[in-house]
Amino acid sequence: MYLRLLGVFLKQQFSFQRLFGQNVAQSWWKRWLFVGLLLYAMVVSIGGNLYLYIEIADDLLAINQINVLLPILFTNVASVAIFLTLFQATGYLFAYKDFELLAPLPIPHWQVIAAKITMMHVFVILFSILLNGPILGVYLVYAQANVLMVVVSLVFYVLIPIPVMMFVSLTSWLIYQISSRFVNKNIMQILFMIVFIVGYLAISIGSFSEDLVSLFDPFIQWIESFYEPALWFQKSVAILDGLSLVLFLTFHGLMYGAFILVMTPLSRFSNLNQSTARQSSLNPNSNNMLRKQNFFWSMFQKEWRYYFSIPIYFINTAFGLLLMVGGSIGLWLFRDEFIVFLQQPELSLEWLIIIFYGLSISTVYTPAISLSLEGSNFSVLKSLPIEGITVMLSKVFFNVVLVLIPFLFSLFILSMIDLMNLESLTLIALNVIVFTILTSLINGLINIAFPKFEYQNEVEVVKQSLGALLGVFSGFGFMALFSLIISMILITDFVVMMIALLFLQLLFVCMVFWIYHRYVNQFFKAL
Amino acid sequence: MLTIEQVNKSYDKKKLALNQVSLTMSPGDLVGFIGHNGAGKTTLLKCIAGILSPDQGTITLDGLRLPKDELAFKRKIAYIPDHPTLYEGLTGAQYIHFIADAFQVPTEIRNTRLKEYAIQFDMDQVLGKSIATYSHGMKQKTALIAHLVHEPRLLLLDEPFVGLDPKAAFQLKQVFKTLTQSGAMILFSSHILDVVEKVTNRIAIIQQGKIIRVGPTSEVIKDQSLESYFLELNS
Repeated sequence: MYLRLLGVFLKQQFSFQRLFGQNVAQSWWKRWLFVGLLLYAMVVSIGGNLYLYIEIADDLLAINQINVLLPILFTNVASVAIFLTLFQATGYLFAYKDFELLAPLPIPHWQVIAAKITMMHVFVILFSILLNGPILGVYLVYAQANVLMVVVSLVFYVLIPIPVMMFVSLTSWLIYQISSRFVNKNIMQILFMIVFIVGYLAISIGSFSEDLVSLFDPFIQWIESFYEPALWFQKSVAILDGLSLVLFLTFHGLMYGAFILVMTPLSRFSNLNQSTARQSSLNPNSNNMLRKQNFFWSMFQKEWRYYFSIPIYFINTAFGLLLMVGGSIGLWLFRDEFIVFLQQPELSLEWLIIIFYGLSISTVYTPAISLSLEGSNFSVLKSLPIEGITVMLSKVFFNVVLVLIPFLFSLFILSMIDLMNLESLTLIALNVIVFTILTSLINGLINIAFPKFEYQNEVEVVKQSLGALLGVFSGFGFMALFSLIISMILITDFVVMMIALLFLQLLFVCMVFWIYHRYVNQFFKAL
Repeated sequence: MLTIEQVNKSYDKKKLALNQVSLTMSPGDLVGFIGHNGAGKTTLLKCIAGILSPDQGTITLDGLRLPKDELAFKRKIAYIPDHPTLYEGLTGAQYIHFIADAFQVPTEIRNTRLKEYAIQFDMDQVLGKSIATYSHGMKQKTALIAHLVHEPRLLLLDEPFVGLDPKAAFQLKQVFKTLTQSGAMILFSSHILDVVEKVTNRIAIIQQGKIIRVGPTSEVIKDQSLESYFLELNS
């Protein structure tokens, strides 16, 4: 049944309707828009990496060190496996939504787990190809690889993530078990995940070298010092060393078996307990249940609670928030080094800061997906005597508040380290606030245009929906558009530019507000 | 024969959802399982289906015991929840074949039964379509057909009549009769007491995790209707 299960899981995950929702699947222009955007994202990702690694490969070839690309590839594939497994292990192994369907069937549990692990592996490989495929391609071309090298490198590329996935799945299981002991188990799960990610990033970034060619050397050497398969991989691919080939294949084969063996009882235990833990946490005596309040605020509070109760939702949309906080703390800690870095002639502190905020805010796209996340509750929401605009504005307001809290914290730190004058800080703050409002409003419209109410797992909406993709792109798109307009009006003074940008953004906000006022109720009813 | 002995099940080790539950079913039994919301009906059905493991007690079907003989036990049962989770990326027919594969139903037999049940439940025209396009009732019927195809010895259903159209509800009652006549056992929970009274030969009433009445329907309710008996019992 393993292959049969795998076939069903693949169909389930990759059917157009499941991936993008009924709404997109039934409309040809939405389908093509999605395919176009997806292709664009792939070309940008693969193309950007290809360009970067061709540059690095040229330098490496000049010093006859092209094989350095192999440990870089190994570490990058492992890193992708770490992050994806951390986010997906719970949904795939420890609390999978189809447990009620599969548990009563006469299928051995290890076969279900083997199929689930393979699915997780497929996702890791697909995502890894987008990010790391160019490294492998560049290496094979520059190293003038023969057919055998190509085959070995491809097979080994697929095998690299297995031990990492096992280790991170175990960590994920521990996080799941420990956090379930707390009252706010989802918040605890998010916190533990953040600690894990920050820890990993601190180790990897902290050990980077200053020189681009040897940028990853200390980190790679650190990995190689305790993880022998990294060396077997290099020897197998670069010189087709027989012993390393056998060792690598045997080790990963055994690890795959061990992965299934270890996960089967853990998964069974967690799923059985997860089914028993679904209890209402509503306290009928709570004052909140009796307090009368405006629907807008009720929706806002609901959004707030929901955001922190779905780890996959938080983790995928809070990257920019963490970046703002982490970036400003980093700036505070490494202020002097940053000032030295700024002495390069083409760099402007104010612009760096505003681009940094723009990029961070663009990755916080909750209004582009939060309506979809209502799922089957949307029909209930629609039946209430509340206007669509109230619902949408409450979602927009939530996103604005979500962004502004870390932003103000970050701004406070910036003001403390005395890098900019008050005038620049104020103008940056005003522009960032208006940009947040604008992108939040636009994202709300995106979700109305591209909803996805039918889903089994939130990850389908948060990561794989058209709304999510467009949500991120809209922020980047506005940044590009504003840069173009500002550069065309030939202003060079920063203060004047900031004021012009502010008015430009306000103009867009007014236009979008008008669309909300005029059309949102209509659109909402049509959904 | 299904034997449930002294089964206990608690949630988060606080509240006993099932408290010393015992129940036996013989071949041909059609048992209606009734009780208030949260009384423990679904919990017991899930324990029998292997979705939950009891804290204590034994569940045996024709000499096969959970969890020792788990796979052999599961080959004889079918569980259909009130809101079945189906793979929406598949078509109805693909889903039914997937379940038939899990139960190793030979191709010829499954095709004959599939056709027969699809016509009976008015699903023959839509089984080729994606499940994502189905209504709740159609999903319910797909889950039913998928599990009828392997002819279970014990059929467990949680609120099977909710969401079914009148014709499908009638057909389901006919299927109940046919299956029990062939020696299968059916245990279903329901709040529709009229239906329970009409179709079952035995009832079990559960209250706060304890089975408080069990026996032949006519003997338990005597000359009252099941509705008035149940309301009286709980007043």
